[in-house]
Amino acid sequence: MSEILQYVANGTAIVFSIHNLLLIVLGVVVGLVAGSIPGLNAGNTCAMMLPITLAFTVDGALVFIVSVYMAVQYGGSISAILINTPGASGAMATLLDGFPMCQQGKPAQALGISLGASTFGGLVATVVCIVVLQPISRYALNFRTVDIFLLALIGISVIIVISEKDPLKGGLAGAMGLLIAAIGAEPTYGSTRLTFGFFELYEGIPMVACMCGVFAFPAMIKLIGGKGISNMGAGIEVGFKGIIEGVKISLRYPIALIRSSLIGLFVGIIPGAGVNAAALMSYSQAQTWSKNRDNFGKGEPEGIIASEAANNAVAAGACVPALTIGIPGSNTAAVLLAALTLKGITPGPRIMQDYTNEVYSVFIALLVSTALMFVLGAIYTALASHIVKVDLSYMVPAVMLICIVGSYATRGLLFDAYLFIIFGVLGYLMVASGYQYAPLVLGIVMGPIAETNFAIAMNLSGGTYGIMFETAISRLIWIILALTLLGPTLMKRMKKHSGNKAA
Amino acid sequence: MFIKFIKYSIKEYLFAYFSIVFMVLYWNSAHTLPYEALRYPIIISVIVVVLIAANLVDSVIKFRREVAAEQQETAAGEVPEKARWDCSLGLTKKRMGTFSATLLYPVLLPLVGFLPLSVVYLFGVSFFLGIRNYKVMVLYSIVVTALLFAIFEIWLGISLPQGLLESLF
Repeated sequence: MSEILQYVANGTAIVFSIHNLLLIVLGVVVGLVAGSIPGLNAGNTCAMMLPITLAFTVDGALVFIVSVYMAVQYGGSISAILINTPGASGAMATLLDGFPMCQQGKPAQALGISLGASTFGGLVATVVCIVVLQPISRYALNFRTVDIFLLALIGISVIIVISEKDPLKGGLAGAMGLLIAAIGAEPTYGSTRLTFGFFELYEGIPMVACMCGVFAFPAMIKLIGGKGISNMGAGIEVGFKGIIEGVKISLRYPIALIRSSLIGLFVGIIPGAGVNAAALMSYSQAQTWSKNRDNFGKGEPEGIIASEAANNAVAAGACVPALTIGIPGSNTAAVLLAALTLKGITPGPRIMQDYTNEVYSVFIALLVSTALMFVLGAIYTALASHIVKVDLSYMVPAVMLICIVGSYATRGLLFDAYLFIIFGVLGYLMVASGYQYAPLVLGIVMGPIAETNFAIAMNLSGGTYGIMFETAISRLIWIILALTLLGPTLMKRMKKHSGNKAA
Repeated sequence: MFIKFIKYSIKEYLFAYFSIVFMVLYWNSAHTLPYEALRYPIIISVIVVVLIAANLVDSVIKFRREVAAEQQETAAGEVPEKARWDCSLGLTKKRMGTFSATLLYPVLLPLVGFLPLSVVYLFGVSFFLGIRNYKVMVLYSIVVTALLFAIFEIWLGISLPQGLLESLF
């Protein structure tokens, strides 16, 4: 323990230099702004910032990248809540409850809840990482591809949870999402499927174009002819007061906060599982165990908390395997390793021994950037929340334009702008015919993780499905999956039973 | 009854039709791949087929319920709810206009270029949606376009299509 304290002290000394503190402020500002722009997620924002880090020292580069990483995760929720378009893909689950809350005239509260949960998730996960950095990095190596596939199944199970009103329609939309995600190169053989000869589809469906199209396009078209984003007209709550109110609300859910932070941390540590799996898994667990489960998808604060606490906790978790064993837990952690490589440091198990102080300084920087994110995020969000008062006739074309340019900008391909339109039309038709579009996107987001890990696991086992039950970890995940799917029904029955007894 | 069912099913079956067409196209392009590469799509496709069938059966049951509810309303002397047979997709004139302009934007983008097309798009759509304050509209169109240009082209270094302007400079 004293050894860890010594490393923490050394790391703190590195972070608290004027130079590095300024870099953290810059990183948080860049992250907040970039995160709230659809099309810019943590991975591509950090990658774009990579050339800038050449001018910094090793610790300066690391501190800057992780500050951007942490702030982008929160920034993504701003556009998710205000315009129904996740800025970063990790905020997909946030809009399920964030946008309905915004429509109920409480955008500032929703943003405050998101800010409170993001800050809590980031802080808790980072503190846990610092304490158990070395043992958990070793444990992460025990996860096999089949376990990641099973974790993806938990994420996919959200389809059933969010389609409670019409499970058949929701299920079909979700399954179609999974099949659409299977467009492009097959993960093990590389043969292409349904690309119509377009090389742009080789890597599969681009997430930004898909999410902007399915979420923002129908939402904006549907808003035309209405009063505004919020149905509350003049009674909309915006500004700083609402944000603080939201933060207070988030603190009323300590169990949800802790559970979601730990899920985010846990999934973040597992290489390849990713922020989407963490946010969706956390959302499904929150709904399973919540007293207000019927309110999920209609503006439930716990839904926002689950997604946001988890996606910020992922930022800390993903740094663990990257900095201890040299395996990136996410795209952004890969950028972090690229920053190290640019500085002449070879990522791998020796980093922890040769650069221990720098590794701990990353986690101290995560703590400081999370605290700064809270302050700067509150100011930025208070200003951003006024967006809901803008006349729709100005808002709709501007949001459409941002989405088209955001889709184009992700890969610099016009093809993605066309895909935005195709998914937009599909999303509108789904809404008009009574389908929920969230299960479709969820399928598309989780599909590649599920398919890749399933294919690898099947190749390793020679096509034997028994591999899915082989280890204690797999069996534990199956139990969690069963509880996720059956838990709500069991709890309802137990409630009914105890109600009957009381009567 | 038949016409009512057709009207009812247009909306109900829309996504199911899309799913069927997609599945046919998918398997047309993927059927030659080795079995190992098709395990996952096969599982998902079976689920999709089962769910399409279940949705079709479900919508027939729902249709019967709606017909029964309408008959009950008529018997009770109430005016039957017309919305249940409404097969329109909610595309009003304003929605249709915005829809079309947004469809056209990416098509014209490589030809006209980001700067002029965005100004025209923002001005045009806000005009179409009922704004008549021309000074604000011009300012809004230019400021939003300039802001996006500054973020994507200048800050992030992403080259936006120049179209007409490319030949000028």
